Amino acid sequence: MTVLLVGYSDLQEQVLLADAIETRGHEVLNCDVRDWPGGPPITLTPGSSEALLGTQFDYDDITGAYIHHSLLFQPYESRFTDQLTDDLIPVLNQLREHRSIFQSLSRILEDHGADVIPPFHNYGFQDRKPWQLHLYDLNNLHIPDTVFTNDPDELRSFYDTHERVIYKPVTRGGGPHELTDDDLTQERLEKLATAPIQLQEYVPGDDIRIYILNGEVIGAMRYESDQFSFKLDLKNGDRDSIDIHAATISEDIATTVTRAAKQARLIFTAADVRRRQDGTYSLLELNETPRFAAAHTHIGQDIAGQLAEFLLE
Amino acid sequence: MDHFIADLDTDDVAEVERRTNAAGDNISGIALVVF
Repeated sequence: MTVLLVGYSDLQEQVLLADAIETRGHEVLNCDVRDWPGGPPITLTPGSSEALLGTQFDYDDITGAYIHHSLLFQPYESRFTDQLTDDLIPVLNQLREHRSIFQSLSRILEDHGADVIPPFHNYGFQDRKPWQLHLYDLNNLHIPDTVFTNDPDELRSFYDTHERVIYKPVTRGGGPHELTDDDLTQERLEKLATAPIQLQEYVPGDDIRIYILNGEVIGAMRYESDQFSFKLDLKNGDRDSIDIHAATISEDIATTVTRAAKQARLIFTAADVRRRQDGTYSLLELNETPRFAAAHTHIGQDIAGQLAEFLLE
Repeated sequence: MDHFIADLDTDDVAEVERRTNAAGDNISGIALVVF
């Protein structure tokens, strides 16, 4: 059996997953998208049972695929910055054409019965955060009060009606920041016109990340960081440091995150939750290709192994 | 362009790579929980 991995071949998650598959005696087709544009031959022929991505393979030999959609020739990747600066439209077209090959390959593999993570319908899942949170709220899952807006009046109103407010991008880019009186000047508020933002009530407590695969919780960790997180509590020391601990979660949280994954139709995901000291919690988001190397490497949660088993079924 | 979110133009992917590389063999979880 063979599993196709698409992304960066030296990405920790891709390395761990490849190892887990190979130690089970199966083959990995490890595809590094940085080989293109300009890399080995790519050929997809409608009607053929085979494809060529540098290496030729038969669709029916692929039992599963793990595809990092966020690395599929996206214009925001820094490796394209210089080309985009010099030759904007041709390079955008070039990236779109390559993206189409890999997105189509994903659909073809699904049609041939492979388990593809994430499924095509979840590509760009995190770029639809307003819908994601709307979905959870619609299903009575606990989320923080949130609004997405470019309206200064809406911002002021949200600020006035919540004790502490976080602002962060609608999708990706910058980290979370706390909204303060200094942000309410006319000069600051005029900048909302460049892009809508996400405003969210601050939820005190621990950052919990919970891994879910095929409807089951397969790992959970608590982490402390002043970076890359919704957590704003200041932490002394190295700004790059992050402390990770295995976490146990209540049945209520497990039910909430597995329900959220089901509603979002995510096969594998990580749910980010803020858990208060009294055990109550808020679900912040789910991620379609979550990082899991830290949980795997530091606290021995065999996320890669469980993923491998699933992709080999 | 001057965004309300000053770091909106951060390249997530490049930042993950930078931090992962900076961690070297001591993968202390840097950015490994992102996304």
